[in-house]
Amino acid sequence: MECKRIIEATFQSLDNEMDPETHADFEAHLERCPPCSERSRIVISYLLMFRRSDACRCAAPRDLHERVRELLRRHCSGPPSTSQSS
Amino acid sequence: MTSAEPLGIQDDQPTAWDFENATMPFLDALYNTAYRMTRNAEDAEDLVQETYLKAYKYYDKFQEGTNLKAWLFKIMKNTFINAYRKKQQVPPETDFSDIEESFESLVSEEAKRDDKSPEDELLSGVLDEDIQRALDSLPSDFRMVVLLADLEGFTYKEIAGILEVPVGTVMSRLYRGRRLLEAAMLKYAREHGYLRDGEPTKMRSRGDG
Repeated sequence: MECKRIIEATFQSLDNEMDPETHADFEAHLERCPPCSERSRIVISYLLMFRRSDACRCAAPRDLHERVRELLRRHCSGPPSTSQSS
Repeated sequence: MTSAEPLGIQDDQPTAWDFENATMPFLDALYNTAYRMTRNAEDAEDLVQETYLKAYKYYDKFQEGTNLKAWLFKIMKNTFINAYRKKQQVPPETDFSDIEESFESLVSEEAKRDDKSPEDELLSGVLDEDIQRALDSLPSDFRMVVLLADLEGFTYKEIAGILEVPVGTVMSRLYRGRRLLEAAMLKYAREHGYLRDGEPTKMRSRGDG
């Protein structure tokens, strides 16, 4: 594996989207290439920070659930996909 | 897992009741993505409501046993594109290369400044608001894949299905999106002063005892 592919490979590995053979290749590269190992570690720490943070997660407003139910009942009293003429 | 059918409805037809029970658990996830895409609570609520209406309308097209959450997200993506994107006149996808480069230089700058790895210190200076701003700053195509992959945990294949693009496109957008995200997190953390040029003062006390 080439050094320039390391960040991409890091993402794929973290996403469990890498086949075992490529993964072994990737691990082997990190073993013998400290700069890549360091770069890989940096991007992982950023990404995990983002994933674990609640900063970008918010629940819907409390009443939205109810409003959506209302809406469905109002607009769709029949079974789904029965055409509504209005 | 067959729930009781309301009277008078044939077994093979999904009911409003089935639809609600199956889809309501995804409302918070849909809303969160809608909010991050529209950056506006009112628009996000409209988008979610419209998504539910469309999903209900086309529920008979949904194939049992396939991924309902992904199907709902796909409907929402299409609704978003039709309703919001046109208004917003998103700039072409070529505006990010210099941001990305500036990230690379920021990182290597930090790395040169201090021989020990700077990112741990940097990370401890990143606040929630930096993360939010960083995500908001991404062009919408990139924001979308990052949301789907990193907050919703969809696989590449699922994302490809939702966005109706090849898996290779998902991967390249995800790559760009994440790199831009890192860059922006770093930039905003610096801006509020955790890292001043040449003196990452506040972090010093952390590990050094």
